[in-house]
Amino acid sequence: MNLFNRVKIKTPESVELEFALAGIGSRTEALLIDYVYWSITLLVLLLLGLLGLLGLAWSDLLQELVGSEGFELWYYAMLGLIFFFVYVGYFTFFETLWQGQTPGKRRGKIRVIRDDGRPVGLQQATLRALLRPVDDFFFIGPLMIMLGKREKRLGDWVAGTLVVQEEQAITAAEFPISENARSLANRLLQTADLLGLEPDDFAAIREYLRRRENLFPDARTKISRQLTRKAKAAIGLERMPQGVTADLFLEAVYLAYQNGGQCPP
Amino acid sequence: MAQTPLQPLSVGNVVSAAFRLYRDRLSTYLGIAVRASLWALLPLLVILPIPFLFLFDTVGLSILWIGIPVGSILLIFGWAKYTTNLALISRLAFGFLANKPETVREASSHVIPKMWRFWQASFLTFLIVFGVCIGFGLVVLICVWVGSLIFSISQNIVLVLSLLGLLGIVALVVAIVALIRLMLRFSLIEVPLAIENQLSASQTISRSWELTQGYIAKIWWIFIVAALITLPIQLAAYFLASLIEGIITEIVVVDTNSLILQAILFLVGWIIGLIFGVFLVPFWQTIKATIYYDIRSRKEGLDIQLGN
Repeated sequence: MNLFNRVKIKTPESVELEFALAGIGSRTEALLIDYVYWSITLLVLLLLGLLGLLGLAWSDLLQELVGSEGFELWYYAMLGLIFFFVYVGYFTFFETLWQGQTPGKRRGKIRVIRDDGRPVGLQQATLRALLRPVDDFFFIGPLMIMLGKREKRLGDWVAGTLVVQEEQAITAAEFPISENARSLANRLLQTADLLGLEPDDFAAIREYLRRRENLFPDARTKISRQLTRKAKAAIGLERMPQGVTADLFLEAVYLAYQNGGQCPP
Repeated sequence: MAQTPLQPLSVGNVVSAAFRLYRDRLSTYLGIAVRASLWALLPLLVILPIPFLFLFDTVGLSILWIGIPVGSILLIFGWAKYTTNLALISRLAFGFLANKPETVREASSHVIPKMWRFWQASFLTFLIVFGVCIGFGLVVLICVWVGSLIFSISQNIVLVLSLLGLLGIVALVVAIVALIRLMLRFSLIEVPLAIENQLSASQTISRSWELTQGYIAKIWWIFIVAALITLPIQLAAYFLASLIEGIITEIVVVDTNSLILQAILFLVGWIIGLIFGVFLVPFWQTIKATIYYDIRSRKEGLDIQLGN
């Protein structure tokens, strides 16, 4: 069962890419954070206006231009305009500058891209921002995201964009491995058949080593035993070398498998 | 079916996954939610007419001798049935997350025999929260008493008053934060009992307590994002309730302060809340199941174990 919608995209260079779509949760989270930042920006601007730091200069100028009669109307029209520019500007600015991300989207680990996989430009970001109020009104946007297969709100349809999850690059191990494991790994490479280990088993061992610090002690013992038993059978090792703990063994298997199951030259 | 189990999820992905579970199996969950809500409704339908019967002098005080015990028994029974059915939804949702889906019948055979343990667990939690509130109230009372003592001997009344005011605000904030934290720690109580074997009522409370430790902020954030998604349904309920209220007040030509009108309006609002609640309740249960799965993956490597 796949809980996240996926899309396949053909880039202009005819490369096929696959993305997981952002999902309603991450998009709501991002929007919530962005609205908080956006409100703070607006509040600061309004305060500046009220305090006269900005207000005095331009309201004097405005009064000179339109006279005192229609001044109030003009004043509020200008405020409305500022409001509008900050609203549209916030999203356009960040999405253009940060390649489809806003502060909220960064935190939610999602990104706007074009339908063909290219990064969004000023045009797409502006169209999305202009249609945002329409999408928010009566929750049209959220409903379209929740029910649509490609999770596009009106702004996405018009701008030709998709919102996808940031692919988490599987980086080299970011967990500590003991020195003893390295020598054990070398021994394993000579005595055992590492190629018997399935890629899934290797992935499970890597996940365990990466996350073991956060596990409850009971669970940690249980899983390391489970994985050790399985790995031992897979690589054709009959008994554990003397004085080797489950964790040390798994670290060594991880290292040895990473070396392609072959002895280093 | 995906071969690899779900790995630990971000806040947004917990909500998305829970929503997906909810959307794809809505008809099943709605059926269970309707059953749960009817059980919650039953005791009130029995208790509610009693004040009216009084009002119209149709019965004497003697009805209380029957009404109170019958009402209490129904209340306890309805409550137990309600929490059991909610737990059933969480178990079903968890089955899908763990790649071991069950039919309603299979899940029920695990959940329904535990009905009284669900009731005990929720009642115990209620007692704990209630106890904490009382305890805090006592502390505040003592503070007020000490404050008034100082007040009576002090010369500088303004200073003492403003200090007391400040203290009151701090106490209020502390109380609210503490209460929210407490509720979040207890937010999963029915889920372990529904899914794990051989847990007692108090053990499922401890399970919720130990699992949520260190995850309060994340759960809080998940609940906020999830609540935002349910906003359309909540607003729809609100509009419908005010519309019907408006119509009733227009049509019925009686004094707007009349007790009957107020009671009818209350009942209408309550029934609308219940109807919309039927749609919301399964979503919260799938959210809880997803949080439970996520925390167990993080703290117990559930996804790694399932993959083996």
